[in-house]
Amino acid sequence: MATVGTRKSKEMLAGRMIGSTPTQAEPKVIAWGLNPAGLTAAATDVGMFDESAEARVNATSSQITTTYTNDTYQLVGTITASAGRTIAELGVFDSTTQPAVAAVAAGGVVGSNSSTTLNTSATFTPGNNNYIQIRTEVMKVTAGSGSTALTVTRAQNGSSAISTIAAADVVTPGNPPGQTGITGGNMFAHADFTGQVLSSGDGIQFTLTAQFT
Amino acid sequence: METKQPVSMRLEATIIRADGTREPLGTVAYWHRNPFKRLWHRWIRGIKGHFHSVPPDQQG
Repeated sequence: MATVGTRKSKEMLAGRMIGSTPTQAEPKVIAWGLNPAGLTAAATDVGMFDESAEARVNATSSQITTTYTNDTYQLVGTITASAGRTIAELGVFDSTTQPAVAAVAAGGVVGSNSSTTLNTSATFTPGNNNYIQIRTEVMKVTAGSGSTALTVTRAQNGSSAISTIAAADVVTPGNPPGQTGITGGNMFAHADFTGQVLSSGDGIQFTLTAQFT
Repeated sequence: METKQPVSMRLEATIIRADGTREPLGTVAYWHRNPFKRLWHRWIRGIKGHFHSVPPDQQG
């Protein structure tokens, strides 16, 4: 049950320091997800494990005091389920745009941690030279964007190659540091937690605090 | 060793049911740069879970 600042968050924090109107938007948009495999969030993540269909929400940000005055950045936001869900992850982004995701094809199971061909169940267009995440592994798409057969470079952004990629695994685009190719793909923080069973109309109010001292 | 910023992050959650009922879950995810503080947090959460009591309005 970890909540971590991603590697991308360091770039985003540094970017917010530049200029009177920083080009780096405030990372105050929250998204929730299903995380059906019960994966653990890591600093190397670039996307959600399995983002849910509900729209991302602009949270309310503030500075609060934990140890020293105003040393903590706080986000408070509520997302409401549009159908029955078990919610088990939260992501913080700088955009309300949900990147289009894909699923690994039934015949597209990658049986090793070195195979570089990924078959998706439908045409998938993350863009060549952009990045995707499957479970805990980040990959670079080197060719095949716009088709169902992508060529990838494994174990990117400090992640480890996973040995089994199962059919129907979610393929999520995202931006590691230095990359901006995916709209809505700048993930500041990622958290996993015990699945919370919700019915349609139920919501969760999240309060995320990041202390800097 | 990789440095991770911020120093600590905490996620708290409250379920708000469709009928307005609120179910505070407390801290559902936590991370601290100091591994001993992470262990301490897990231990405290374990203790709290062990002695978790049923609220009066839900007691039979």
